[in-house]
Amino acid sequence: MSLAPPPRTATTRFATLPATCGVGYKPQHFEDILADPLGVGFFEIHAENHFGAGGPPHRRLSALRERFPLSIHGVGLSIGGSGPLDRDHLARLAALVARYRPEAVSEHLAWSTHAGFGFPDLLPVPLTEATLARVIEHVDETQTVLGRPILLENPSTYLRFAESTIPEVEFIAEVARRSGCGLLLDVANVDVSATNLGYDPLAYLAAFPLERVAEIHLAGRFETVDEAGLPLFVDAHASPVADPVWRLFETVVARIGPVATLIERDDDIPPWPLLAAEARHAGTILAKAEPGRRFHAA
Amino acid sequence: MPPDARAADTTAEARFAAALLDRDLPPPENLLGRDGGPVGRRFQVHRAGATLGLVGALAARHPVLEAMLGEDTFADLARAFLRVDRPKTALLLGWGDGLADFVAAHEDLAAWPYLADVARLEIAWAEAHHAADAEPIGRSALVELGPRAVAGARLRRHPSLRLLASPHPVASLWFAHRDGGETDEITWRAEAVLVVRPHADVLVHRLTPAAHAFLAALLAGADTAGAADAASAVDPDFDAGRHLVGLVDLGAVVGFDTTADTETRP
Repeated sequence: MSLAPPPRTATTRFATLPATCGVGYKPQHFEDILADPLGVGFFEIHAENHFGAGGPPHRRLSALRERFPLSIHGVGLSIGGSGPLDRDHLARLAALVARYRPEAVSEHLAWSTHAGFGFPDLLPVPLTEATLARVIEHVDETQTVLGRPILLENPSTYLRFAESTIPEVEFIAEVARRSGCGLLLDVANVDVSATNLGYDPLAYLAAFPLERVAEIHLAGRFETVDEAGLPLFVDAHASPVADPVWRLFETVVARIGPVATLIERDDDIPPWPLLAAEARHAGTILAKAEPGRRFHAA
Repeated sequence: MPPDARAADTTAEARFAAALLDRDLPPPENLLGRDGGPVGRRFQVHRAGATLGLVGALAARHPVLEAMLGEDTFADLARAFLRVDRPKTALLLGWGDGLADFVAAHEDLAAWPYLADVARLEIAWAEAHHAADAEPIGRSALVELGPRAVAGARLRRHPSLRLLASPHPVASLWFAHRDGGETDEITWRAEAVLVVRPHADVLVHRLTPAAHAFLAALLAGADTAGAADAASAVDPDFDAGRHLVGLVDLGAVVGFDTTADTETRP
């Protein structure tokens, strides 16, 4: 497998994934991927699925890692949580990162544990000065323990906290600026959140610190309505990427040039050739883009 | 950060968490929908997500129990279990061991007393699947040890090794209900099972009562001669040497501590 080297932009400070298309790895695709990656250039794994000591999950991950650039994506560190970070969880993440030396490590602006209860969900944080200070502390602690920058992902949101005072895009920009982290821009989340909360996704993207985006996520959503008949989009990862999300993605790529772009699919998982074809569609858009010239390493 | 600001945040999170856990509670009042609109269905996205994630984690760990009960009944059982047992962190790997005891105590399932042991076998399988890797010894290691040393040797188990004994044909039921399972008629009798993952695949191996007594004694720290005595008490014709070789062939053994090792150890 030969890949053109990624364009050197400032984002290599945060992650060194190739500026090509990737897919969220599912064990059921393992044999097919090894037989033929079908043009997919990198893979992303959920960190917590590999927190076990050994066995097939690590065997397969080792085989994958030998052949492809790798992104490790945490879904349970609870960076947005009000309590301290779980030291054991962070140590396990650090061990995984040390073992597999991925090209990117990412986590979410969300919480998933509270007072001795864990929730397998990415729960929303009130966007206040207090939360901001805490999230910066948590990102800083994570980066210190891992010994490298992480990418923080923008959330999919369904509701607002009455006490929120900071627009999400400003909140994320401030976390990135003060913690020194990179960003994982989930374009599907932007469209889901903008629809659910009634704002313009293009305005959000215009305000987003794109110079820190080292990876993009794309995924399908489930479309329904709330009690008032207003659209309610659920970040379900159970269907192909929707057309409006492809258009937003094209807008982003036109602005920043090609960047590592991943298709996430966690339910109703299609056969490998179908998922790979969806990823290659992203790859086609990336290949047409001018290499990023807006942002150069400082 | 001022302590009162942190406290306010903790309160917001606590109210959110409480309403996730208790379906009878309304969504917290500090949550708003679009343009200040209703928040019920929006909060329900998180409530459903958290529950589905946990039910899904239990289903992933218990494919055979789910096949035996049917998807809907299993989901009902899982949701009932969530009322008494919740993960302490968002890390679900290794959570849910209490399901077997919950099944055993469940009144509606009392007519199928073997279900709890099927659940226990699946937990053993999952533990073996994720256990640390280790290289099993081969027969040559037994030969090198020699018969005299073997008698006084204590087995060092593979980290993935699990042992389970049931008054029900737990392994036969498990084999029959997994994907592409055995279709042989099940003989209704007690079964003991060894679960081990020496390399890539988890092996599920039925043991005779005497073989179970032998391995149980070895795992409890008996030397092979002592374990052979325990097995002979169950079956006077028990062949300890053949069974020891069998355990080595299965990849269940990573080494032996001999008496000499024990004596020279400080």
